[in-house]
Amino acid sequence: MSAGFVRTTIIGALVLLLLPAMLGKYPLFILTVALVYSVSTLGLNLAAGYGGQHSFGHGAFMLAGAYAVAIGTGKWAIPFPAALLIGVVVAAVLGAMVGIPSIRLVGFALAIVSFAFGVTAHSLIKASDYTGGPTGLFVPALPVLGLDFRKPWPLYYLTVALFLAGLIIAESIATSRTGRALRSVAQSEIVSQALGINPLRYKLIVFVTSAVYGAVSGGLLAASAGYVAPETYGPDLSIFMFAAIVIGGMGSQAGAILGAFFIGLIPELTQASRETSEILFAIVFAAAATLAPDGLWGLGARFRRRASAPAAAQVAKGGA
Amino acid sequence: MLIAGTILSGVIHGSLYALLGLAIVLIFRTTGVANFAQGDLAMFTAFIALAIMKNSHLPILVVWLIDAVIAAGIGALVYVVLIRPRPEATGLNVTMRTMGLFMLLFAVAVRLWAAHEPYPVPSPFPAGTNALPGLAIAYTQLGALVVTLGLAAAFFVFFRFTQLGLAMRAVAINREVASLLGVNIGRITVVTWMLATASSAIVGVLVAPISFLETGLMRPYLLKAFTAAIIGGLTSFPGVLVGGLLLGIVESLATLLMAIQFRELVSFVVLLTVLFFFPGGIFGRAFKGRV
Repeated sequence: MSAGFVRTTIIGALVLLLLPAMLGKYPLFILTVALVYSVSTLGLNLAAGYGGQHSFGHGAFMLAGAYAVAIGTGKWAIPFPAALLIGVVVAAVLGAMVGIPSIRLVGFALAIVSFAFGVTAHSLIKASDYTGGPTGLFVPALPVLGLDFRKPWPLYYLTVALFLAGLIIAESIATSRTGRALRSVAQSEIVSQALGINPLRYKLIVFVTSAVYGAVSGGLLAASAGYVAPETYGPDLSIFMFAAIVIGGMGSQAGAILGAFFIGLIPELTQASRETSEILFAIVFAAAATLAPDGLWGLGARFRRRASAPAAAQVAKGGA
Repeated sequence: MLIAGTILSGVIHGSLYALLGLAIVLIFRTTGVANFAQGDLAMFTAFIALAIMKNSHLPILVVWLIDAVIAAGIGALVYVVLIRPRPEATGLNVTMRTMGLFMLLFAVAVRLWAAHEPYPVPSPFPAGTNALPGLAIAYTQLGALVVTLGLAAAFFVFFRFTQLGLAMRAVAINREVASLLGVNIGRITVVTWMLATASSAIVGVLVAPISFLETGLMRPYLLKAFTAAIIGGLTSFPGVLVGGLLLGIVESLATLLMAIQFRELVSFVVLLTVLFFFPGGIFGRAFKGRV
């Protein structure tokens, strides 16, 4: 972890702790959702951005977390943290089950297999009566130590805490020996094997880790919405999560967070145009992907480079 | 007879998966992009075909041809506006752009047409479900199978025997070398997008009369087409055909034995099983890349 990361994180944490004092109820809800998405994209970015595993089924892990919270607290009447923990365990097991046969696959094969996994999970949960079928389930009040985590303020601070923990863990994985091994595996499996790294082991570890992030995020999303329904956790969510890290910028924590905020906030901004909001969102989305191929964070980095070393940028451009 | 009918119905669905998969493979091998908009391009152009049918008295087959030409134009437009800018982008980034297109097409279709869906769509084939004695197969389904197989055959002839097809294969194998040998890469890529969009337009007008036309028409087909492509090895035309047919038949047989909700699970299991034995797909190579 670099000094820059620590400094930025402390400033960011202070802003997140103090900002809500200035926000109304609805902006607070939007900020909560964007942070919940960030937890998910931070995890996905570990697998996809650092590990080069393009998982298009991340929504299924969020589904596991969300339904665990809804079923655990609603049907079994167990405490919220225990239900969330069950979701995490289920997602980790699912991650290993899908991961073991599919991490040998490269590039788009893994993308499509994980996409198919997401679609399958969605269709099964939709077909089951126990999970409420197509209509889903309500999430009851979530009292823990006298606080109800269905209420905006406790949920916001819980989300901030889990978001910061997720960020710090993700950054320490990325900068540790594991992170270096992952990056080398993503670059070339053959070279990493020659260096004594077991690619499958690292890929599986990071895939399961990303599933755990997804489950935590899904559990928080269920708490913030107050209900779970299959359509929320369908293939669209998986695609949005992956799109978030590509649009934000893969392979950096900042990019993952930026992308999650993009996915969380842009629909709110385009909603003003009513009937055409979906169309507008799609155009903004496509434009961001087309105009910033390295993601929004990469775009910023490019400008910073250009400002600091115009000559070098010129050479790089001429050479390309 | 039940088994025979089920298998034939599987072959019909499978051939439609395969034709859409063919378009996906075509774009993937030339550009390295997984086109997530392929299905909704078919849906969108099917609505265009329906609009032409409603506002003219042209024979349906002529409308299909006009629709395919319009689709080719849309394909070229998509390439110029969405795919060509910033050529330094990775295949993954361009795949995201196709997801943007997928969302855009869907949103525009919902805005324009969702209020009155589903729409019945005329077919050039006769009505009725007794196309073959004893098998409950509709003429529209049998017609779809014939058209699909005809198009697949045309694809093979095109790639095997024409100059343009040869150039397209060369670009798929190695862009740099093809370019050095005088192949115009930009032109080949435009033609690829036009061909792929036109053939998915045909899938659209084939599927629409079988089930009613609605904005979500191609959602299930997209995943099946991708699955067929992966089973076949992602870059192989015979592979995607085999993959599509295999998927269609297994799915049909499975619905005999279990509830329809398990359909997605069945195709997922087929995919995992094939990849377990052939990690690179049946017709693909399990490539590791070079150091």
